[in-house]
Amino acid sequence: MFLNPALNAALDRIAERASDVRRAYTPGAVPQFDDVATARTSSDFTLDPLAVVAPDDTYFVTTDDRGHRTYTRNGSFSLQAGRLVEATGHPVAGIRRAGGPLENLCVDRLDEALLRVRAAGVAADGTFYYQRETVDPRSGARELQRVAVGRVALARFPAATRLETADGTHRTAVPDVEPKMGLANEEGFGPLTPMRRERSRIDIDESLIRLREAYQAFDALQAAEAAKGHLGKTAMDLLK
Amino acid sequence: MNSLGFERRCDAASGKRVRRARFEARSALPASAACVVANGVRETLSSILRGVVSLKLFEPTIPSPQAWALILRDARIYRVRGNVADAALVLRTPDAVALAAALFGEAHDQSTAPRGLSPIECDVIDRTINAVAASLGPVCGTREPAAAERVAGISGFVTYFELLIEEPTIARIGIALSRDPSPEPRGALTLADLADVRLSMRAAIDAGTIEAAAIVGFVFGQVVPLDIGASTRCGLTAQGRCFARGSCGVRNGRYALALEAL
Repeated sequence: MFLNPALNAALDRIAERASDVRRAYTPGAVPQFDDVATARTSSDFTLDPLAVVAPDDTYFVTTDDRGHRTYTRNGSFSLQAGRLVEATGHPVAGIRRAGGPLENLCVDRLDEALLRVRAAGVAADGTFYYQRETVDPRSGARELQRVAVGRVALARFPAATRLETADGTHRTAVPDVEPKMGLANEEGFGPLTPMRRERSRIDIDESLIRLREAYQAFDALQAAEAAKGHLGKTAMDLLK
Repeated sequence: MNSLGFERRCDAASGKRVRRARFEARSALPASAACVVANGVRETLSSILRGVVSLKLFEPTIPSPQAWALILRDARIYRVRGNVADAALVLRTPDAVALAAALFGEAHDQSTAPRGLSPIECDVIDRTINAVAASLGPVCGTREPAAAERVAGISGFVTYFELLIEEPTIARIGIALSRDPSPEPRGALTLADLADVRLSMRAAIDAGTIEAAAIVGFVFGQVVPLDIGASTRCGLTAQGRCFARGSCGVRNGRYALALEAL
């Protein structure tokens, strides 16, 4: 903490640039500064069937610890206690049946308790499914039954809406701006891309350059401040 | 019965997905026995519903205490006493409603708000379960009459499996058993199976006696004389267990042991 507001501002800039660098490898993260943003989204193949990439300009809907609705592009989902959750453990919202309300997507509680849930995944149309093994009593043959839990909801905001974010991954809607909710492959929403993990929109090289520039600016300001202090002291000594 | 299984969660190791092994409780009730029950239930329901009934089976398991609590929550439970074990038919309320709708020939919409059973529906469900209870003989033993009595709860039950009705409605009927069958002993390993296992052998020579003070005075590089001229007694051990004793020496240029005791 410096008394000089310019130095404090320079320190804040370093912190902001550093946070962009830190989030460069967080899937779906966006930078605080547009000058380090990549031109387009990109993703990597993964063997995880619960990892999906949302169509451009759309978000997955989640709920934070306080029950507030948040939006994220990080589609690195997993299954926790039968619930479909995103990377930080917050539940992913969706609908269980056509026209139904938005709710958290959970597998059947009994299937979860009896360890029947296998091979959970998210399909291109947003269907969250899992498989369970059944036996045909006539033939004794075992077969895998696909159970569709529901469909992952998507949200799209009006163009040029700037969403607020604290961690670069979860965004909250701006007051008075309601997103358009929908499902993949419906009502103008594109399909999800399964088994892919979205990269962040942060250019790591560019963000490191900007971080170095922020440090240099801070050093320059600090040097100027020191020179100013010396000059003042010399002037005072002369006056004495 | 504890069996070797694998965790569902995968860890990435050297570019491969690895699942950790663990012992887990598995029911010893054969799936074939559960299939016999399932086929009996299917036949009974087919005759009651006067139509084709399609049914699948979930394998018998040993539920955890938490799972039992979930299974029995808000469920209609019917106890059936057998001469081998007791059985319980567990029908959760949504499944009971779906089954009752099928019995009355009504279409059941699962998306509608949950509701309870009317008194008439309760009576019909009770009679249906009584008819179904006659199919439980293969897993709990027969006892005449095979009546199912409605109970508020059950405790001490071990094994559980479910029948999933797919046609003409979607409902599940759970079957709990008070004891898991004892596993039958299977063919154990024979000596022939172990014949090729290689063991590390160790020969220990009786090297006379030495004073304790001399041991305490050992220093690095010191040469300790062994008095094995008088006694060449030797013990042959493997995995810490002595298998033979005898006299050791050299024969045809190789160390050898003449066995004297086994």
